[in-house]
Amino acid sequence: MRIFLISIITVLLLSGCWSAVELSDMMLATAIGIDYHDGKFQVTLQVINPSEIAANQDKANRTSVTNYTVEADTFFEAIRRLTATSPRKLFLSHIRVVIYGEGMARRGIADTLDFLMRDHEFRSDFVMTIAKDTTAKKVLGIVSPLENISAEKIYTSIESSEKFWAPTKEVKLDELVNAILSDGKQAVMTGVFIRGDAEKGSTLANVETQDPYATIFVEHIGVFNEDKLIGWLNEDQSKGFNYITDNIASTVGRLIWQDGRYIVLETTSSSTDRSVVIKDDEITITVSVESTANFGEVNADVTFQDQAVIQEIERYAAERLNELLARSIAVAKEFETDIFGFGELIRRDYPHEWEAKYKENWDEYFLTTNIKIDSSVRIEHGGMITNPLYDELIHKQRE
Amino acid sequence: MRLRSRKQEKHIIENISDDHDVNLSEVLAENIELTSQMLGHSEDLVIRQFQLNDIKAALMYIDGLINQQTVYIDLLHELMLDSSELKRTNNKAILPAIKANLLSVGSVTEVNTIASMLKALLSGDSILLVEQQISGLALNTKGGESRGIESVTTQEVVRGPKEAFTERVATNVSLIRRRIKDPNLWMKKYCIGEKTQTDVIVTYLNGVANDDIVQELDKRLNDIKIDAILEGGYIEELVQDDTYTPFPTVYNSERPDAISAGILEGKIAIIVDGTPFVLLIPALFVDFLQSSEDYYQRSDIATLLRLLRTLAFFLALLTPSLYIALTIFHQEMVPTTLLISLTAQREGIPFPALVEALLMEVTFELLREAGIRLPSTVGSAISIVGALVLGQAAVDAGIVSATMVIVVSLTAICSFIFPSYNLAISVRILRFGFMFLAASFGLYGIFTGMVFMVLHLNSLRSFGIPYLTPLAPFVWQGQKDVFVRAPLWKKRERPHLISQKNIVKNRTHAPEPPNGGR
Repeated sequence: MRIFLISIITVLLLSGCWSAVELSDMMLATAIGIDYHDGKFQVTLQVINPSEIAANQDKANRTSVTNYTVEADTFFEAIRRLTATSPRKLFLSHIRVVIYGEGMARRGIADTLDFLMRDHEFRSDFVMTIAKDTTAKKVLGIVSPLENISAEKIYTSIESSEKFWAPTKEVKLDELVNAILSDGKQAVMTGVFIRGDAEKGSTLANVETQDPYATIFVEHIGVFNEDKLIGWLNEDQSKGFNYITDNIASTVGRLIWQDGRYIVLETTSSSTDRSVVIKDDEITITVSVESTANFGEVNADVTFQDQAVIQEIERYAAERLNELLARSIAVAKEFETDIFGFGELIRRDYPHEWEAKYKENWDEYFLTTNIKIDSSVRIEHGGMITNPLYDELIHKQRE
Repeated sequence: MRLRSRKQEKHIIENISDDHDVNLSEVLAENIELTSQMLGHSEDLVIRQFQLNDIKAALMYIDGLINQQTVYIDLLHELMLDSSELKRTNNKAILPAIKANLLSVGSVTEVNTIASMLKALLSGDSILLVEQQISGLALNTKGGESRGIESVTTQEVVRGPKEAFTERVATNVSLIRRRIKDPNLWMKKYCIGEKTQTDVIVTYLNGVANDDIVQELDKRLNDIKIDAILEGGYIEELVQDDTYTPFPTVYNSERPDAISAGILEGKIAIIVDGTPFVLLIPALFVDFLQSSEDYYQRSDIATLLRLLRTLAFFLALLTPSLYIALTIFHQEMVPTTLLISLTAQREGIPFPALVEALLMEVTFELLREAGIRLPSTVGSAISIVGALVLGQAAVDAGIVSATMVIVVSLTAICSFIFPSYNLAISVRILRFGFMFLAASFGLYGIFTGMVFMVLHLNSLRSFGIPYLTPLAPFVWQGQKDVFVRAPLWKKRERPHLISQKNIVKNRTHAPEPPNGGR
């Protein structure tokens, strides 16, 4: 018994709280920005200034986050070099976003991924993004209104815009690495860009006015070839991309109806089936989208008493959707890169042919692939009112 | 006949004990003198001498232990005024004649020796001594002041009986008897404590209780050689299986309904004189998480409450240690936004998380202890000080973080949820151990601690019954009354392992509307 007690106490005391770190001794990093500058990695870390975030403490008119920027020959060295400027131990588990500057992304991001995957401190549920037309340092420098921490703002923006607006894609580290390493798929990342005056936006004054000088926008999907950024999809193309990859939760689409009047449909659910048939060396890929929608806004001369009218709208909407998807595919073919993962589809359905023939030069074969698009739209609900106000207005005017 | 010399008397007094007794003398005066000397001429010994039909007689009792009504009216009145019938009886038959004709009290026993006479005298009997008789009569006149039946103070319920046990063993026995009107409710009396001669009554349902446990308890009670038993806690500590454990292996309750329920399950109750808490053995771990109210409320309510209590057990045990482990070792496991707000609160706190937690927990334990000892008139003062010191001021001064106050309050609330005070104490003890483990090893330490705690619980026995029954060993029938409380008509059997006989207790069918509800 005595020996047991002594050994317990010894274990408790000698281990000395191994690897314990008090919360007040650490700096929570929320974002990493990676730029390439004069042949060196320029790493920007955004850390939280806790006393500014606290719910009910006297705020000392400082920013909620602080950015530290250092340069080094390698990524890891840069991160460690930060300790020379930062007052506390850096804690990387709560990184929400990793932002690559556009220059860095075009140069190639492969040599940053190993550290992100290898280091045990990362939780690897952060979102990977690209600073469109600017550097990561500048994006992180914007003082963001409403959400105190700009990394948190970017993370939630991507999350919610993917869910409700669709032209973005939440790409996590493992997904990115898988896409880069895969032969049948190319990587994509959502873009982040600054709208407004970046210079003024990086001061606290940015949040002291009702109209911020600069805001961070999350839009456009960056297209990669291997690990290099080669171009951007615009908003509609990005949306088409998400339709094809079955990544639509909810979005909004506009239909031009007669006389330039329009109907806006709210997609409530959408599912995409993709299949591939190889016949006589000719690859035919069928993408069929089934989506259900509600009337979100109707500003056209239609009445909904007749089921035939609704069916006509459904048909028209499906046509427009086909066009949207076709444009996305056309752009991808222009970039000569298969971001939709059609190659993966072939690898799964025709493994022998894939290994023997397509694997090596899939991007070339992709250009000649025949892609059929077959969409259908079903409208379920009309909203709180039946006939459009516009319709009633016209009738009144005619009288 | 001559009186014994002083020297002889001294010799006799020193040697009188249970083993070495002295017979009563024929001389009344001698017996009286000896009794008085044995009691050190105590003030409260009353010796009333009178003539019983020309025979000298004396009635002795201890003032305060007797019922004055009985002694004055039923005894003295009869003996002094109505004793004419004794004239014809001869000397030898006089005691039986008195016993037969004059004494209108319930229980009369003959005493032949000084020691047995003193024992009877000190437990509240009156002693009738008659000249030329070598034995006296011990008349049951027990009485005197004691607390009446009051409402429960420690295990209160919303719905259910409110009366509680008292310090008087006879009252307590009657409270149980009134609930179980069964000839098989057997009681066995023990007199434990050389100096206190405390009455201890063991009661159980014959034919339901496990005979082995009854015998084991009998053996353990007989083995007790102690001078004083002042409270049931003495008995608990002297008969329990294992001393070095934070967990209680003897259940106690001041609720007659809870004890009766236990007896009906085949458990054995120990009633100790002077203790308003009755002990119940064998006690299982799950018993301490159950309240007698569980059976008075509908089963769904009772099930919810039991699940809450189980949750409270873990919260009371682990909340501070989880807080410590998560904030100093496993920051990556905390959701980002939560961690940010925790960090913000920890900002500027001068102590490490463990010290902070200890500080608050110890302060709280002190407050709780002070609250118990405090006279009720100044009780509100401690709550004001406690609320201000623990809550507002400590946070405002930046000594502790607001989260820590929440953590401590949560543990405090949870530890008051247990129906049994002794389990709450076990949890208090273990909580500190877990806090140190968490500070040294993080979650790894907590879970190692949990493993050892469960191992320890598994090794415990209460009178031979595994402490974790019916969880380990797993008894399917028993699950109806552990975390859930099944409807009464579903519980057909008494707990296994405790009683092996007479296992079916309930043959009620499920209630249903007439004609199948049509």
